[in-house]
Amino acid sequence: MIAAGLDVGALWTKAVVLSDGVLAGWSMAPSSDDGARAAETALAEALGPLGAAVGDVQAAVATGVGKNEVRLPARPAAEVLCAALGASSMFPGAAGVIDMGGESTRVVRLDGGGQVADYAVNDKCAAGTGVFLDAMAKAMGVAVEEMGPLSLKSTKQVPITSMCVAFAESEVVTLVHSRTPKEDILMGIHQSIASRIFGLVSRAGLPAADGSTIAVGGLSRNVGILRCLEALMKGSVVVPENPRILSALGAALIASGKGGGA
Amino acid sequence: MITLGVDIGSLTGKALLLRDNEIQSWEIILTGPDSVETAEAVTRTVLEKSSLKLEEVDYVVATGYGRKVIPFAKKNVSEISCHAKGASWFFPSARTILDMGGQDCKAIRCDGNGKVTDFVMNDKCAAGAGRSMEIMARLVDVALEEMGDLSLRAERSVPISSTCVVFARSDALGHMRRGASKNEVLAGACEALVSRVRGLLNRGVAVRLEKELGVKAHICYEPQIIGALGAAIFGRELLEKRDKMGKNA
Repeated sequence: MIAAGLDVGALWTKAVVLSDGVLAGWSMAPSSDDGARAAETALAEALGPLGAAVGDVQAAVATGVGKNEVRLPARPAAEVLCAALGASSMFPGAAGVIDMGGESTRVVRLDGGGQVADYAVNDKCAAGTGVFLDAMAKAMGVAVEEMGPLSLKSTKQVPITSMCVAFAESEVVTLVHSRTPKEDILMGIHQSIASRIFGLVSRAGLPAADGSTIAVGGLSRNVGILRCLEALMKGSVVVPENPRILSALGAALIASGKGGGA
Repeated sequence: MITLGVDIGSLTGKALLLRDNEIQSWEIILTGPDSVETAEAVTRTVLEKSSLKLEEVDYVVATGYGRKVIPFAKKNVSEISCHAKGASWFFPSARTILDMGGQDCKAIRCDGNGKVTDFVMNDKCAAGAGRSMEIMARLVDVALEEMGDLSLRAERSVPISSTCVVFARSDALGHMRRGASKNEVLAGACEALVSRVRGLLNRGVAVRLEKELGVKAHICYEPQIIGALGAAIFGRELLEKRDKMGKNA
């Protein structure tokens, strides 16, 4: 049986394909303006290794902000649920998932059995999301991928006091003009993002990180944000190999009937 | 008696000269990176307008976020107090003042003498502040000053439901791609700002305004000078008090 999971995010659409419950392929496409088209593109690519076509998919589940845009016959499922299932399938016994996306952040606390115990979401304010990081990268003229490693060279605390993206942008530009070392500004940016995420971590009631908290989403690829978050959580968080497809995996698991009562 | 009020805001610097109880002249300039230079430049211009020298001014009061560093000011007063004072001078019946600035928005409640009794402010988030208007104006490529008039020409407005200005910008972009006109987007942006600011009013200062129908918003012919005006009035009142005490002694 071929089952598919689609995660139509604000910036990227992810597709995961399971063949008889085993991961067979995955892919990503920019969501751009058309989540439906992105879903079809990503799914077709994810089916590549199986040599199958979109018509061969027997069950599909969609999640993410654009889940209702999908034209394929896919059932919608809550983002929180998909993130929880994806995480606990890869890491049985995980305590929680921190999903740091492009335009939203979700923190899910799991009970020992992989069920959602509580969660907290920010999708109203761009502070602490991927959009914030992108805007700061642009303001500083640093590639997003370089931000994390560069920030680790920081030697001095330069806090970014503005919470709002629009105000933080001006603050960062002023810091750049006053010749503040880039690595220090970057660390300040990462601290700002991490403290916003930590607010949600506290709200969801996630315990201090003991290696059983899973971080996913685009921002989890930034080592600077991770270090700041770990400092706040007083412990380590685990990032899976492909941190961006975890929710799509959870959706695919639901489609294949392994998602419990979903 | 001549007093000067200098208001250094995040985006503009304002100065106003008050002779007894009459406005002599005022000036508004963009704030530069240096608050002191901005204060000096705007003061120079306003003095020239009235053919006065700084030495002839009896008292200088500074306000605004840059108020504490202005070397020629004898006193600094918060912009909240100054706005209440200035607005009451223009509109003695005013009890609620909405100060919509570039980086923050404040709702102030005052008594009949222009004394602040309560206030709430939003300075954490650009939604509801001037900055969000700038971002929207840039998106549709019109000058900030034209925004208001253009928005009134739209027959309908597009709904902009996101609170965050970054997300609102994406909303607006989506509407434009689907064929909405510039004016319709501007109308939506103005409506979004109003709903944010109304929230501020509701929260603390004037819950009852909601219930009272027909509350009229008074807008001063030059709304940006209210803070500087309030500062100048504070200067005058201070001198008057000092004179009185001198006579009593």
